[in-house]
Amino acid sequence: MSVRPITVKVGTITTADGSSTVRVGHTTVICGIKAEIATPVLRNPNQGFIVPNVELYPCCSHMFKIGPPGEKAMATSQFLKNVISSAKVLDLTDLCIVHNKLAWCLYCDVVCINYDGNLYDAALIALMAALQNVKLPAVSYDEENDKASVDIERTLPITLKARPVASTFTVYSDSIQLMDPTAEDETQGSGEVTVVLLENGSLCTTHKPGGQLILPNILDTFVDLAKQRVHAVNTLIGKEINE
Amino acid sequence: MAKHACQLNFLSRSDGSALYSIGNTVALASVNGPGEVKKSNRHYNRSHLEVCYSPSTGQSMIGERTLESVILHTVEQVILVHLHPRTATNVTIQEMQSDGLALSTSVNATCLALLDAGVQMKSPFAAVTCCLTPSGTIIIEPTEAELKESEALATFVFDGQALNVLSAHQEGCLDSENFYACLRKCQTAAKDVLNFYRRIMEEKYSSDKSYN
Repeated sequence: MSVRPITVKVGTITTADGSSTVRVGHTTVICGIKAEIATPVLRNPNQGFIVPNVELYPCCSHMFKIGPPGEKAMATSQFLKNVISSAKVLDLTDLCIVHNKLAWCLYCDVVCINYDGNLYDAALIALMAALQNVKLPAVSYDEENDKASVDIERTLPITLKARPVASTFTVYSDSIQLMDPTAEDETQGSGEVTVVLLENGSLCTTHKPGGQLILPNILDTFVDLAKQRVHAVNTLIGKEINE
Repeated sequence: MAKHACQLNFLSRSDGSALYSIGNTVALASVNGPGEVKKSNRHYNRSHLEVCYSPSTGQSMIGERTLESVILHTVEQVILVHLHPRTATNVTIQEMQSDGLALSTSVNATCLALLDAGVQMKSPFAAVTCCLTPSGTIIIEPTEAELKESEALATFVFDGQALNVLSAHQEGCLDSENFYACLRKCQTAAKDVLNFYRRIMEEKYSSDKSYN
C-alpha cells in the first residue's frame, strides 16, 4: 500500500515554546506549545498538565464551519489526549516544579490549515515533533516570599518516555482497505481504523469509532503495515530535531 | 460478567426507550424517530442521526462529545438510514449512575431502545468492556475500583450476526497478544449479551402480557 510523503519542520513558530509544521501529502498541520505555570490539583499534587486542543477552521476544508469546535475537532483532541496518556509519553511528575504549589501546564494547540484526510496521523506527528522541540525555562521558587522567578536564558528540553506513531486506514469492504486516506477516500469509505504503535513496533492502542464492520484478523495486517511507518516517521522527526 | 438488567418502554412519550444496567452502571436511552428534521440537516437519501449524551453530574464536556461521536458512528452503520429519507432519528442517553462502564451501558441501552422503537436495523449490536490488570488477568465488565487498578481498558462493540468488530475504544497500552486476548474474551461475552437481548424482547412480545 502506498502512503503519501511526510515533511516535518520544527521550531516554525518563534513565539511558542515548542512548535512544528507537518505535511502528510496535502494535509498540513501546525502545532504550537505554550508552557504556563499553574497550580497542581489537590488529587495529584506533584503532576503537571498537558492539554492538547485541535482546531479545524473553515480555511482548511469546506466541511468545517465557523463556531464552537465540531465533532471532528473534538474527536481528534480526545484521540491525542488518549494516546499521550495510554502510551505514557510524558511523566507528568516531570512537569512539577514545586510540590503542591507550581507545575508546568503545556497547552498544545494543533491547527489544521489544509485538510486532505488522515488528520489523526498528521496531528500526532505534529504534536510529538513539537513536544521534542519544547524548551522549558528554569524556575526558581522563593519560599519565604512565595514568589516564582523564571529564567528565560536557561532552558531544558523535556524528556519523552515514548514516541507513538499512528497509522490510519479506510475500510471500504472486507477486501478493500486503503492506508493513509485522502479527504476523498474518507468521504467515499465507510469508516476509519487507526492503530497506534510505539517506537519498537509494538501495538499501543487502536481506535475505531464505528464504521464498517471488520474481521478481527484484519487488524493484524494493519499492524504489520503500520510497523514500517513507525521507523520512518521517528527517524524523520529525529533528524529535524537534531538540526 | 456483571449482572445485566433492562426495562423496556420506560418512558411513555418516546417512540422507544430502555433503562439498561450493567452491574452498578445505569443508563437510560430514548429514541425518537424517524421524524421531523430541520432544513439544514435534511438529506435527500437518508435519515439524519443525532445522539445526545447527558452525564449524571456536571456539564457536558469533551468526554461526553466523544461518547456521542462513538455511539453515532456505531449506530449509523447498523440502522437502515436509507429507508427514511428527509427525516431525523434522535437518540438521547441519560447517564443515571456511573460505575465505570458508561460507554458499553449506553451502547447496549441504545440498541434495546432502537429495538423497542421498531427502527429497522441490519442486526442488533452488543458492547462489552474489559480491563487488563497489572498481573495480566482480563476482567470482563469491571467495576470502577477494578478499573482504577487496571493498566488498560478496552470496549468493543460487536454486530449481532457474525460478531465482527463494529467499534473499538481503548485506553492504556495493550500489545498485540493482550489485545487479541481481550477481543476474544469480549466476543464470547457478547454472545451472552445478545442472548439477554433476545430474552428481553421475548418478554416484551409474550402473549401473557396485557397492554393498557
